Amino acid sequence: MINEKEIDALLKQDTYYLEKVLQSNSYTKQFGVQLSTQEVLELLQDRKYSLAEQERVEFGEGVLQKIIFTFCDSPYIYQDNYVDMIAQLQDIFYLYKNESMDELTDDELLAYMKEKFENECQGSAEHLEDTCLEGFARMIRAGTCGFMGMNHARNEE
Amino acid sequence: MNRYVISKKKNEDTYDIDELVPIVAWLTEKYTSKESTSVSYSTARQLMGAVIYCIREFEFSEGLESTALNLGGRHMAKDAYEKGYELVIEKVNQTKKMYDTMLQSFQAYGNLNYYDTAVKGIEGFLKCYDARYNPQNNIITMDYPVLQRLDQMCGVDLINRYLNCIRLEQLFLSQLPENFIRSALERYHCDYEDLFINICSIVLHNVLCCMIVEKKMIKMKISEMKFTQKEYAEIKRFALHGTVQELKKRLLKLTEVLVEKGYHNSRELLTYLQADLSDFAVELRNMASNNHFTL
Repeated sequence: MINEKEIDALLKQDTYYLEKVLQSNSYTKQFGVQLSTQEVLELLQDRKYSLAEQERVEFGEGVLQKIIFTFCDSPYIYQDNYVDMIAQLQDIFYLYKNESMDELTDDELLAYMKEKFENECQGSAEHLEDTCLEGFARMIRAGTCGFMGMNHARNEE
Repeated sequence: MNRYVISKKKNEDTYDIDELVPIVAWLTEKYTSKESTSVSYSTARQLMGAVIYCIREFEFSEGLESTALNLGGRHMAKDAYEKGYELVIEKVNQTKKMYDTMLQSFQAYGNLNYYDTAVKGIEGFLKCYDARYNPQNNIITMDYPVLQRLDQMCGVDLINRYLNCIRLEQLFLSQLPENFIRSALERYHCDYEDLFINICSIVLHNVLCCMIVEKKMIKMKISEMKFTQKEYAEIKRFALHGTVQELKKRLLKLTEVLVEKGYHNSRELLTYLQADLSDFAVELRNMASNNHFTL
């Protein structure tokens, strides 16, 4: 839980992000999940720690909203685990942006994460992080581009 | 607040980090083609370096005189960056032109390192240089040693100056008979072709010594190129007379005569060759003192 001082600091810096993420509630409520202002602030705080830990800099709108839109319709995500799950997925996302040496776009990584999360991992973020993405990142580093862009579309056929 | 000193010409010529970050954010968007919202620290550092490099390029070349971009005596960071970027591109084109011109008559005199650096290395730089996202990277290691120190520079600025040094060396060497140059190099070291040495410096030393003993370099037979004992004695007398500083002054005088007569008094070439004279004065004095000439 973050304290009031941190909330004030975050509100000053992140009003724009806060509003953007809160707007996503209007879309996610159809799947039975929503975020309160306090929860969004926690996620934004978590984003800062995660970016610092992974030694990354984020500009623009950030990826949090994209993560929410990608995963909100998952049958493994419900109101009780929603915030924790989004926070975990956010951490995993930044970790594997680094591990894949930035060879993947945000959308490609999110699409892969979603696909594995829904099927092979059956909603387990730990399995996604430690097993699926680990092997995937190794393949990317070895030069495979089977999941990326045009190649992915071709492979799907 | 962090302030990045871009130029030291005026006190107000510093930019807040707040002014630079939006440019880096914009550049990051371009770099990732809007397909990634975040980049690693090293990429962000590289892009920040690119922004600072371009702003510096603008400020140093314009001398802060451009009025259109001047806001209260200070340029807007974004405009300074854009102008600087254009100047970088201009400099790359100028470097390309200089390289093409130099290549037409380039002679490495058999030295592999000279050829590899000047011909293949510069070509590699021109192929791989990234003016937008990594202009501060000069890519190649420039193994061929030139006479001028270029420590404080990087990116295309450095390569441009480096290439100019090679151009001046070629200008100097082109006026001398090839067999004189090859003979001087061979006397310096029988494996001169494989050494990482400055060709121009070795030849200049020989030319200056020829001037000391008033030996004509044109139409000289190979057998005559080596200095005789009598000539060595004369060089020794010249080298041991006065202090090293005085010797350097006399060598400079000879270089001035050489440049005036053989190179249309090119000040640029004189300044370049002058960079070698301090070392040569000491070297010549030592050779004379020890009676061991490597010329």
